Amino acid sequence: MTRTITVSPMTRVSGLLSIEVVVEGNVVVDARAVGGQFRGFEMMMVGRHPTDAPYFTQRVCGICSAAHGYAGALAADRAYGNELPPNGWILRNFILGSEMLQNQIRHFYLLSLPDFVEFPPVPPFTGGGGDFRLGPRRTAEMVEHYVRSVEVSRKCHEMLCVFGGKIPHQHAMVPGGVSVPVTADRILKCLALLEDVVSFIDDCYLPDVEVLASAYPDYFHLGARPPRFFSSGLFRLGPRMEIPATPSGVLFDGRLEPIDPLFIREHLRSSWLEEGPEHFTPAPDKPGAYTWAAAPRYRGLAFEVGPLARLAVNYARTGTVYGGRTGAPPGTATMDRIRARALEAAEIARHLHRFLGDLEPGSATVSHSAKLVEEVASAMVEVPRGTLTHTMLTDPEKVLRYNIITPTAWNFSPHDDAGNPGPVEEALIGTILADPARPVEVGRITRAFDPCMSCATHVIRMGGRLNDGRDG
Amino acid sequence: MEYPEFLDILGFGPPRRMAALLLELHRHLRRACKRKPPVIWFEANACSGDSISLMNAVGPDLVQILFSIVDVRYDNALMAAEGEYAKRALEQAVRESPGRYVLMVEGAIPLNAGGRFAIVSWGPGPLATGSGPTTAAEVLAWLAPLAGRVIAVGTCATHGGPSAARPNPSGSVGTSAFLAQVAPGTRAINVTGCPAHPDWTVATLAHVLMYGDPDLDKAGRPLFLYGETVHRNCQRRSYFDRGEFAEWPGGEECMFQVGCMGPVTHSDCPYRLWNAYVNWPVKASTPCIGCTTPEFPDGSMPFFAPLSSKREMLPRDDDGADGRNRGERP
Repeated sequence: MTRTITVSPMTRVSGLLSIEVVVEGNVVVDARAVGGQFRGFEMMMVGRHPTDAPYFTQRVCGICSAAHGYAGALAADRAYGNELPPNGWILRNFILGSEMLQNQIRHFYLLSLPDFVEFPPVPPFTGGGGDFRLGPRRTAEMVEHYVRSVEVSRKCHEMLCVFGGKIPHQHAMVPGGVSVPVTADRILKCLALLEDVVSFIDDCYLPDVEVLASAYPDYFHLGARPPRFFSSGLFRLGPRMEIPATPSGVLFDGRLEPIDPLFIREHLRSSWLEEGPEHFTPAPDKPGAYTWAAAPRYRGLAFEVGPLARLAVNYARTGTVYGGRTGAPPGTATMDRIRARALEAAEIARHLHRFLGDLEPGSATVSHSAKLVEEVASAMVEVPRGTLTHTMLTDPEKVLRYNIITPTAWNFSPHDDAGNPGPVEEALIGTILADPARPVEVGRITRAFDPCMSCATHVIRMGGRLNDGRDG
Repeated sequence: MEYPEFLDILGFGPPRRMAALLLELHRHLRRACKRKPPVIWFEANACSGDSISLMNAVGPDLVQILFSIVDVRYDNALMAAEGEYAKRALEQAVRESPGRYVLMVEGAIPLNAGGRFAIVSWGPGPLATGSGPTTAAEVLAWLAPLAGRVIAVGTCATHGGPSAARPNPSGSVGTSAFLAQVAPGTRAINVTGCPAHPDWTVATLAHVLMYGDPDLDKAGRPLFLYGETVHRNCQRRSYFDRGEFAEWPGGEECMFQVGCMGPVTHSDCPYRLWNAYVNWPVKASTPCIGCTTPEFPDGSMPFFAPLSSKREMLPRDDDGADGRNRGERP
């Protein structure tokens, strides 16, 4: 006898999400991640100017807008054959990294923590899930850190704004580089802000994750899935922004392979989408479909992207966790995801410190060529939630097709054409619910992937030419 | 607080004086009502950027807003409750304070395919008994007429914005256009921007709580925030007057030739500045892209083309109509 439990709406995520689990007794035997929204940014990009890509596509997502700005600007750079001055590509990475710190801190405290810590019973903190295991002293400390995280995550955005102009939806990353000049006062301001953020990561974020890890050891098993991970490596260095700062690769069957974008295929069986001769079309009445997200697959398999995937790929290549520290390899469960995000925040902060040191006050930050040189241009980069790919097909005046594969499309993909579940669905299947009437496990497992349903846009084919802008 | 002083602090004063507003707001709320005013933050087809922008507020910051100014009874991004408990919280807020709660709308409302381009929840809830979807349109049609005030936050919520950009596959419209269809007589105050600056959102909320509806312009925006153009107050105005124009973002001159929308965009960005008041697009040597205009983004694109040539370069719908399917247009 099976029955279906629906957690809808799944709150404390970005955008509209519901989760359905099919339960036999207390065991989850099937799961469906239901993405609730569709706007169609790839359709909207058709006919617009190639240089519009960064500003326009970053409206896909308000919490990782600079991520889309970064990918859109890089795709445009490749279309125009731009070679960025050192300040230009360093600042691109500084802006992206600042946004990632903002995201990872907000995710842990604002979105994830109320799953594990009982907040004071005032709105909007009433009605939480239960199974709260911390004592009163620890609980009070966590709530205090929640309050501090509001200020610190805001400072990450302030740091971004010094060189980014404004955020959400930054302005300074334009085709050719970054528009804001490098001056000593700007560097100093960012160093001061970064120091506050680093103190918070060291004194609160990393220790708080370990507090949860000790109180919830079962979450090193709950949410486990097969170890298939995909990462194109953090940041992009050099004038053409081709060199990742951390290892890239595809990890499965215990081995690490280089990425070949030709192996990426999108499956639409479970999505309210259909492929037409030129464009997909939304198909909200399609039988058997249950989500607006498509199902990207690599070699036909579901791959997880994001902080845990980056950490796992880094470990597979170097044998160390970030910063040269050896230790046991990361697992594949909920608490591994939460811990990987925190470790990554510390790693990103180290990179940002170096980026600021490498800037040269007074030197150029932008160099844009007015002539389009590539018909198909692509950028595959790592952003807060995982791997993001932007690809555009252009003629000199306008975009003919635009393709976006977001991290959430990978992680929150539905069952594919072979009927195999997506990564979050895999993580939910097999879970034993302590109390099916109050399935707190579902939200905890789901949120550890940091869902952003505004980003769960569909995927379309670009005539197999995704690899023309080689990367990673 | 005298009304002129309020306008002075929020409309034209140095932004750091927002802290004075907070004190006054506390005093006012203690005097005026025993309980903090209830707020429902409702997200439709959005990028969550206006929620994130509000998290960037300073003086008052998000914690002060949550703990000491308003009772946020429903907010998809922040509330502890999930699933049916979240739906119950929404139902309870409406039941307990009909006609009193402030409804803040984020995101556009899609109308195509029966609204299923934005599904808020599945299964039984305030508006459904079966197992099917409940759409953003259905929830808003229920919440808005029962609200004390409706504030649309961000250009998607006010006029469709990027969610309704051409060819607008989801048939998204802004809140006012939607309410005109389903609840004539219910008006929304429009806080435009992509995203809305957190001060604009907080200031509009404060105005509504302390003085009632502010005076609005013809786009439904508070005049005390959107009364002047970016161009009028721009620090690079002298370059414009001398005819010195940048050829690409990054130049130190006027951004008019690289697409600046400042002359037709109403906002106080040049003196308010963004993110703890450190920068704004033209100070960052990029054009204003007119994100507070009702026509954003289609009316601003190509972003780097001069104002005069923007519209002719835009793709047209088959019927040649500009902005078909969009919310209200001037």
